Amino acid sequence: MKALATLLALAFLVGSAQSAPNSARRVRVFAQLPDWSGLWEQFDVGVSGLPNSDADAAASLKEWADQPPYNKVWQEKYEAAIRAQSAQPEPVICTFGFPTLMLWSPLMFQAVVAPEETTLMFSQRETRHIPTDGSAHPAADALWPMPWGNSVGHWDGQTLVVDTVATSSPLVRFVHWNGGFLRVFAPLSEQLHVTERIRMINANTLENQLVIDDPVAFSHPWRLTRQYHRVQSMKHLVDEDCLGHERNPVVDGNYVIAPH
Amino acid sequence: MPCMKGVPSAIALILTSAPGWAHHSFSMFDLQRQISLTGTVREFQFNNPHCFIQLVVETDGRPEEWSIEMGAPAHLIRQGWKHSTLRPGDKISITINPLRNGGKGGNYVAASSEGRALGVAP
Repeated sequence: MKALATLLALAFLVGSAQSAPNSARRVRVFAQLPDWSGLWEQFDVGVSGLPNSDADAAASLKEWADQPPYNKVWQEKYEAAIRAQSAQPEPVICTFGFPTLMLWSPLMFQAVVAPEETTLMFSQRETRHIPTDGSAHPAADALWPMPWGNSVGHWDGQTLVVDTVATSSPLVRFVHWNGGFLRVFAPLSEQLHVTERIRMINANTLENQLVIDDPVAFSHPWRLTRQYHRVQSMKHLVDEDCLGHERNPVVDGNYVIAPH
Repeated sequence: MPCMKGVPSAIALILTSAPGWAHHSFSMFDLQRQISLTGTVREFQFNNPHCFIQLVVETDGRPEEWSIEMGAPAHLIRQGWKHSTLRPGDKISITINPLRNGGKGGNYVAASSEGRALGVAP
């Protein structure tokens, strides 16, 4: 009987905590955070999946020109990867991963800013969790490489500063090849360490200043700036499923349209 | 490159090189060519990862079905499309980049119905 009473008391306490209003402190912290609500994108890829405007195409071309500062050994690995991938059909991209999601991606994303965490949710089901509650990265024996890595953040005024380690995704890149472009996976080591400073520079633009350091693969840190533009015509994220009702099988080394 | 007339320069550069912007390559399409089709919608497949318009076109008195590939629903909605924008029986005119292999299919470029452009972002 005593145990039952204890359980009921505990259940009451938990229920009370869950239904408690925000503390004055949490409300105060929340009020100081920037409003990043809405949807954001790097490029508008239009109805066909190709650039929807000259500005979108030009921005993409400009960003493809950035070259990772590989050291000699990894430059050779990168070139070998390009040669190997040029002999195959371009791979389907179901996971862009980090840092490609922030460097070059046709996906829209929603930013949810709360005192304890900022969450970036991308339309193709990729999610970055960025705790801002003072958490540190887990200890080395609890970290393992993941597509989006492990991020922690803090606010420097209205700028979100993000530190990310333990990534497993290669860079998705476009390189000149045979008079055109080839999409390739560029290798990165598991020692990749990325710092981002994300802030609003006007009502419709987020800017991200990235320092991408790979002490194993790069000769020096790679500094890049990216912008994300507010999607004016949509309020809610719409799901993109990479596989779904796929009608583009590869036949004899080429994508085709499967009959309906 | 007469079929590229009116295409902005940066887009033209991308189209001539056919990279995969979305989740797979566009190499199956001849992005330097455009053809126009007029026909009747048999089905509008509004689903991931690509929407498709199944269009029946009369050719020499015989019906031929074309498969017109588009982007994902998220990007169509972004441009003002809805799952109900096209219904079976609708008569439309459509411009596509045709398949390189000569098949009855292509990559969506633009479409109109009764002279009105379809799916234009607000």
